[in-house]
Amino acid sequence: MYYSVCNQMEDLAELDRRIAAMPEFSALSGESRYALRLALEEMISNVIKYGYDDHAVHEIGVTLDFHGEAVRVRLTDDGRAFNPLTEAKKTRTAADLNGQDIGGLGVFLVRSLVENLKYRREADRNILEFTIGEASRK
Amino acid sequence: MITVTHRQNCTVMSFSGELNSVTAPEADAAIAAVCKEGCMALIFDFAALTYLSSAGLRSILIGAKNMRERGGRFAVANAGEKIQRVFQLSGLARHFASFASIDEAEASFTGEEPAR
Repeated sequence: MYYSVCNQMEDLAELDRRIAAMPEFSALSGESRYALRLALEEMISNVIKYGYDDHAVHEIGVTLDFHGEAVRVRLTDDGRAFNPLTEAKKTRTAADLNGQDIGGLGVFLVRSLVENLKYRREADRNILEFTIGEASRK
Repeated sequence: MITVTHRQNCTVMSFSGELNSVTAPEADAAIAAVCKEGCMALIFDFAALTYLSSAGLRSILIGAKNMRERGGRFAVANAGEKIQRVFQLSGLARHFASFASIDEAEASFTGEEPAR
């Protein structure tokens, strides 16, 4: 299923509520439910906060593909290029208590909690894909 | 929701629900208010906390930093399994002590055995 979220924190909160209410979401394990909500919150809030230089409304695409205890996620946005696989590498040791590096911390948490994380840039869009709960299906 | 309780030797802030990008601003304000009152021993009670993201971690770290800079003591208590996992994954657990109960956290401030 596909959702379009505007680049505002209120929209992210609304997306979170809608997903939490889905029966497919309830079919995930407790760990996977946590990982999905955290991954969406971290990655989308990073796009909202750091992805744009203008004050215009932008759409962030969220595609969720549930298969029993697993889910595949695709996030797309037209913000500045940001590859979470190569960015924010310093997070583990930086641990900046002023919070300046906390955007990177969110990315680091996501990388630790999801599987098959892939990024590509296509026609001025960031496309991020990952899965959650697939390892437990084996 | 955050409840503040003053014990004999410390202040306890009990967080219920979620500490994320939506609720962190309110948490930051409450923490700042407690610190501004001159609190020198602060415990975050997470018994009723169900969800923590990096925004929430930031709130914890800022609270810990505020206390440390004023020479005060800080600890977390009653963090559930999922919350502890976020602490461990983030690698930031070294910035604050985490205990299984408020009594143990409080005892760590004075070096005494927790009350039984």
